[in-house]
Amino acid sequence: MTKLRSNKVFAIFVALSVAVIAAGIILYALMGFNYAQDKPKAYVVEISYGATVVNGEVSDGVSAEDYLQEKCEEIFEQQGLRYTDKTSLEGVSDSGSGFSPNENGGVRYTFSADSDVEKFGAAQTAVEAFLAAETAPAVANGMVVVSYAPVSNLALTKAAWRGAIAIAVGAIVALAYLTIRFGVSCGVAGLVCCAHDALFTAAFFALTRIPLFSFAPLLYAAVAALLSVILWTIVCIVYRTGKKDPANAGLNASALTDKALSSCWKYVLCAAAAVMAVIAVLGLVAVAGTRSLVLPALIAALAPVYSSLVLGPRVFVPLRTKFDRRRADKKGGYFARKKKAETQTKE
Amino acid sequence: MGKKKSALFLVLVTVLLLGLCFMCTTSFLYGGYKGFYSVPSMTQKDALLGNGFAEGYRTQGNSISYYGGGYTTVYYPEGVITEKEYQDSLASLQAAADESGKGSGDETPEEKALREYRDSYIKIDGSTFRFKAAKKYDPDDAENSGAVTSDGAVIEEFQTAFDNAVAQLKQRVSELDLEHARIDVVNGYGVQVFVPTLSSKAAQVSVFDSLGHVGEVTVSYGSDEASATPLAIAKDETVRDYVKGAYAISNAGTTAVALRLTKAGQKAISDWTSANDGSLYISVGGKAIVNPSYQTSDSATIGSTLYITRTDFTKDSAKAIALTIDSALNGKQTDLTFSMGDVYRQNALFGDLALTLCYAAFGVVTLAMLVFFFVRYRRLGFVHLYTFLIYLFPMILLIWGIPFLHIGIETFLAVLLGMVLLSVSNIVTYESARRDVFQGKTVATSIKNGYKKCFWGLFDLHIIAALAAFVTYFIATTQLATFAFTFGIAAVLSGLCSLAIGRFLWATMMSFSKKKAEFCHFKVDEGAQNND
Repeated sequence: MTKLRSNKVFAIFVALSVAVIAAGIILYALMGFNYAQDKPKAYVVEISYGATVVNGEVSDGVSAEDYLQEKCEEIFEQQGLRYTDKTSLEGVSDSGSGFSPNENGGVRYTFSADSDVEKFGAAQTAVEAFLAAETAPAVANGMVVVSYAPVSNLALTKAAWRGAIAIAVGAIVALAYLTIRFGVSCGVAGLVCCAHDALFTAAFFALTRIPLFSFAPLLYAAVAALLSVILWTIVCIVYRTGKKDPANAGLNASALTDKALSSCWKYVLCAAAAVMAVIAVLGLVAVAGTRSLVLPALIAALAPVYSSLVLGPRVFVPLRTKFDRRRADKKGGYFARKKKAETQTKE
Repeated sequence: MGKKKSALFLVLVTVLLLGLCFMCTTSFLYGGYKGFYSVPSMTQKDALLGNGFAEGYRTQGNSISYYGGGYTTVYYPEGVITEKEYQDSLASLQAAADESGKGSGDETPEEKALREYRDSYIKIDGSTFRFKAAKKYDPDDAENSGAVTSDGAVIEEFQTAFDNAVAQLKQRVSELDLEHARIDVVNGYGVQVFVPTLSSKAAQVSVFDSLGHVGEVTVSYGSDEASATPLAIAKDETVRDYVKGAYAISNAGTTAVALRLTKAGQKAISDWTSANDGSLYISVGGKAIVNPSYQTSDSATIGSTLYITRTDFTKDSAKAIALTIDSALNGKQTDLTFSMGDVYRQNALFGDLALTLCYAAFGVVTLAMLVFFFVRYRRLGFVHLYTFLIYLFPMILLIWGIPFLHIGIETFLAVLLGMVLLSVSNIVTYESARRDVFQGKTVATSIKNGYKKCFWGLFDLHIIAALAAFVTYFIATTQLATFAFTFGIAAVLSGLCSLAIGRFLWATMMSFSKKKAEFCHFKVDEGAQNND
């Protein structure tokens, strides 16, 4: 573990951090995050229909709704259009006490924004031709309407900026507690770790262009900052326990930190591994939609391990040494002078 | 504690846990139509997670409270219609024209109406909507007002009014602080809004209804909306010289829309309510959005804030109404009106089985955790299991009991991270005791020392986690706030369970074992064993 604090290893880690954060900030300024999961720009084809389709069957066991959707999807494929999302719509109307189903229905297909718009027109014409030729009454009389439209999302930014302020204040309050309980040097090192992890996580997303939901960068930065405080607290707890141990009485901050790191790295790795396992299982066992949340979340869990085991101690040791020296100077100077004065008085 | 007392205590704790487990996990029907619903099944409001089983139950015609997803609609500005609406109107006008024009050579009024309608709605490049063509955009002259000129160019005033109306709608959707709510511009001139399923069905309708009100705020009073007398506004003044803004307020279970009035507003409304019976109509875009009733008998001087309550108000519906009034007063001004299209219910964003599969993921994590504890610590694993259950069930009850919490990805993540915190705390304590046992101390002394050594460290760890989480919750909104608050209570419960309850359970359960070190699977030499 002492190796982790060596100049060579530290230089590599710092160079990596600085490069990722700087590149991430530049790319964020130029291009922002990749909010592709939110589908900020897309083409939407909507097929709406009445009760005949919703309740009807074209043959035994084949619902008119499924049949119609299948035919439409065949037409999209013939036109070379591939949808990225399919949403079933259930018509509702106000029944006086709330929305109740009204037997209308629909399906919404989302296509990427760079799809050929003329193909949508051709697909619409093909679907309308199919409907005109369709003999099954459940579909033919189903009042089917096909429309397509470009859609652009209006990003709601309030949650994002409130979240950023919240994370910063939350981390500062936690670090203030850490400072009171463990000393200024622990607090400052924790602050550096926290800021680093939140920035590193956000910068990593900006740099790698991983497709995200709009809430994701802040949520993951929050998770990283929170985990960073927790993992760094584990290091601080072990350091303080070691310092209180009479067996370590003669050791300086650097030696104590090395000793603390060699006994706590397992806990830090175990805690981080447990968090990562939770995230991985949540994403992998759960459905496809949540899988897109897993990879970014693992980054948020990985960054605090590095900062609590490498960056934090590296910031902490010089600060602690300085504070210890100042305290010793103060104590030495004061007590030495006092003792000398007392001796002189007695004499 | 003696063996008998320990046994009694453990039986009581087990019965309590079984009861809580039943409440939290079981749903069933009885007596044909009545149902007992588990606590999580009653925890509503989430757009991402859908309950596949509940969805299946609902489609059989049953009423079920939770199925995830949300509702979506498109708001169309005046002068813009969909192709479907155009074709439907054209078909009905054509039918009327065919009926009236039989046998006559001259153009009938119905035929004229058909011709005018056909000529007035045109298509423009890049849009699949139909736009009303006219020389000008003037909402006060609806007959001759349009969105585009006859050659298909969008009228500048219409474009400005539309842009301002979209800005107002965006502000409202954003300020509603509803998780996963979204707003999209469809086809350049339709505004599509998605609102997640809310806990109140009436609030859902109210939110959609009030969101679409854009335009000028007017205040009028009378016995009915049509004949209501508008507030007399002095020359060179606007309604903002009478009403400054609006906000929603909840107090002691009552939710109200609060109107902030100027002195002139207070006087005008006081004068009217003290002399007349009837209603005060607060309208946005010409449609009354809220209409409190007054009687001269209960009239009182109106203060600087007028509180309007309604029996069906919920936090969300009152907030939507207040935001509508406030943004129309203080947001970008527009005189455009919107009409709401068909409303559709949309399935859960991650699919209907998302919730069920999230439970499966939770099960996998729990199983992995328990396997680790039982393999490494054998019977001491039961202490962790009980501690974990004592953490989990109050956690579920709190999520159910706190109105703004619900089951979602953020909640799952926070509960699971709380589990990690609890497990790490227990591992740290067990390992500390194990080290002491290895050094030759008795198990009882080692446990005491283990807790003594770790207590303040783990206490600090939990306090830091809870502090950071609660502070984040107070400032953040939507998903982050939910995650932070849930994690905050998870940290508090984890701290209580690992530092207080866990120690007590360890002592209670171990009292039945003759060989204490074997109970904990702490392998020690004979000398230390004998000390037990």
